[in-house]
Amino acid sequence: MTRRAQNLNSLVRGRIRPSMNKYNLFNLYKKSKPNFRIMTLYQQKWASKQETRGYHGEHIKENRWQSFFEKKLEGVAQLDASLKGNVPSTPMVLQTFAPLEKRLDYAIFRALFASSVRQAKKFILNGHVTVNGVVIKHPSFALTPGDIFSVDPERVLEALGAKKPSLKESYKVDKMQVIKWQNYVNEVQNDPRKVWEKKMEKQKKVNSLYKNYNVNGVLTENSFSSTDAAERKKNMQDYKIKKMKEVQNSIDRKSILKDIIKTSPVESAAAFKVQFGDKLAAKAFQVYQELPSAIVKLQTDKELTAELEKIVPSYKDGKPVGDFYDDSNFKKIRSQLSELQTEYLEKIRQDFQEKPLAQDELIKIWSESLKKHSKLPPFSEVEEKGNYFVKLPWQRGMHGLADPSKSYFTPWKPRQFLPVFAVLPKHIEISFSTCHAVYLRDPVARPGESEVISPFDEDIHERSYMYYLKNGM
Amino acid sequence: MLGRTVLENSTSSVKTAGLQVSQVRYRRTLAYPFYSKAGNIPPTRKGRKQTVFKRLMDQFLGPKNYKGDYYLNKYAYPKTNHTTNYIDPRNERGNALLEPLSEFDVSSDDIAESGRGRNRHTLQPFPLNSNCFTNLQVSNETKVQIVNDILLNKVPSQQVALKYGLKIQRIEAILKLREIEEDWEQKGLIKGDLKRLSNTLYKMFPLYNPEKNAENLTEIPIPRETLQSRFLTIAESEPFGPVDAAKEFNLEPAAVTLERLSEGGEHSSHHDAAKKSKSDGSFIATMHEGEKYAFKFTPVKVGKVGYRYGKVFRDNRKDRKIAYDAAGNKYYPLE
Repeated sequence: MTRRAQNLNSLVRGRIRPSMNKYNLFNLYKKSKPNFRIMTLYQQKWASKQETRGYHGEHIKENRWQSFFEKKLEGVAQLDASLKGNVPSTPMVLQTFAPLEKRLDYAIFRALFASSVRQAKKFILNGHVTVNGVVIKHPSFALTPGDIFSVDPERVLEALGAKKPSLKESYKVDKMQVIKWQNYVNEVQNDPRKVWEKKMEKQKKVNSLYKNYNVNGVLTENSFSSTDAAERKKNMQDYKIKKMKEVQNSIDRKSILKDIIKTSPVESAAAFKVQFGDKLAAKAFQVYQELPSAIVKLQTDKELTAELEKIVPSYKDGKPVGDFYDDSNFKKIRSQLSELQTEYLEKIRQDFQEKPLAQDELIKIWSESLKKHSKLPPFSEVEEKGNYFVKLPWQRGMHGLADPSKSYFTPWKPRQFLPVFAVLPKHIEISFSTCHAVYLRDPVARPGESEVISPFDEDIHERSYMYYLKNGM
Repeated sequence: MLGRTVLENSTSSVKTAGLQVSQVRYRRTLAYPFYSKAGNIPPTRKGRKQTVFKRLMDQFLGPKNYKGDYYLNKYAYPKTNHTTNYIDPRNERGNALLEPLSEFDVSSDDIAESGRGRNRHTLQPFPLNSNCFTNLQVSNETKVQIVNDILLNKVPSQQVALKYGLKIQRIEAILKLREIEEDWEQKGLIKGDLKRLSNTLYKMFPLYNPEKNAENLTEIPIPRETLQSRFLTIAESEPFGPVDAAKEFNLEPAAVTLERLSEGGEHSSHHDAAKKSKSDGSFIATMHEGEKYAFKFTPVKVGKVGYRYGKVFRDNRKDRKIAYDAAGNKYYPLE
């Protein structure tokens, strides 16, 4: 039978447990060594036994543990030690609780497939664990070297992932996010430049604060894209291409001719350099010169469009519509315009490719791309329906409930304080992408280290070994 | 209750005297943080009712954002550059925040930089245990190399072990796991959240470098006999070395043990497929016409099967032998 789980993470008692709980983290953090100086030998043994048993086989009753206990501690000798010289001593007493590491529940916890030994035990009892392809439902199953064990990946994701929020919690967070987002968009619309500068500054600060940390969802609204430089660049390119297409589509022979006429009066080709560049300016000037002066001098837009329609007629079913000039001069103008058009389109393409976007333009793009979110429905409605619509730049779907059928925070993110408890064992080889692991050997002690993972050092283990050596005396 | 208060009083009197070691049954030392001074009671979070210990914990964890994350605690998030992020309370003295909350606080980095703390081993996960270190993970590229060496180039696992400084069992395990991974990849099972998990964990652990952190390949288990001293009278002039000692203990020389240990494994040079199919003497009897069942005969020893009349059968023994059948069910074999 399992020991009763009562007050396991008491901060007053401050025992360290085999668990990734945040209370346990604080207990581990504040732990100090017992003061053996003021204790009798038996008190020392008793205190050590209490501490170590709180971590090793906490869920196993004392009698059961005593039947696991072995006097003989497993260590290895290194044959090249005599060649090296100055070899540290082997901490044999750290092997006191090594017999427990064979147990399937401990191996699963050590392989980081469960967030505590008690959870590992639950996984086994619920049939999520296989050993060599056979479902084993006994937490005390003793692994032998070479055994392959695996846990259902869904359970591992649950164990190592952040907690799944309830609909209410998720709604609360999303409501907050939407309100903040609306305020932000308002601010941006009022003064885009100021908010942009503030944002860049914050981005810089956040990036330096969380350098080399895997942080999801703490950062600002475009941190999602900023984490991936390649993607951001691609987005920029896409935008550029889109913008270029827009400009190119707005250009035809008529618009070019209109631009040429509008620039008048013109004395030399230099006047066209601004729009058409060095190469095409001469051609544009040529067109300008060939136009009859009556057309060039037209002032009102209405007259001009009527005249343009006559010079460059629009076609329908391969035939020009309405009146148009059909003499050789205008034919020449038309052919020159076609030439000019193709070259001008090419020039626009090159310009877009070479020129970086100006900051003003960037800010404009950015501020225009921000759209307000629709208001969230009241919670009573959400509760009835079971879901609601959210789409924010950094989040699709409800907060943590992108896939509500899963038992963990989706999209998956690691649970907080995972790195503190993530200790890679030496006696197990793990494959996280398949949630399989191979039990290599029973953990051993070698000069300078022990493969048994324990928060306590030799002095404490030595006393608890003494306690069990004399059968609890 | 009365006895307890009296005893606690006596404890305090002994404590103030500070001379005598006393035996007190109900000594309860409360687990205050070692870095916290007596009388240090931090403010409560948002004016809630909180015990002193909960307040101390909240002080350590730091502020929470509206999503419920402890966004300023430096242990909250995993690293992405193949480094560990283990706690180091003795150097930072209880200040685990990434940046100071107010201008009067000092951030933990400042403390570390001031040189007051000792530098701890980055692979040591627990501050109190200097004999425990995390393992290093073999990088994906090295794993591919190992698989290629063994399966394509047909190099025996002993040589590969020497080349990469990894034990043979670990190399065999890498091969087995790689096979499963490839199978899963083909079936398209490694995707989405699972991929995210494995990437996160891959970036969290330091990578194995064969030149720097090679495993010791000359390790043999310490024989039980050598853990005790044995005395022998010999002449002063008589030479006595390790091989003589092994003879005295009735042990084989360590070199022989080491060789024997490196022989195992499916991909070792000693592996012989023919060895595996060793007959245990069982056979299936020929069937005659009209017979419904085939009979299999297996030689067994008397006493190994069935109950033996008169043999002690203690089913309430604490250390009963346990075995599992092929379906994973537990049973108690006869001893």
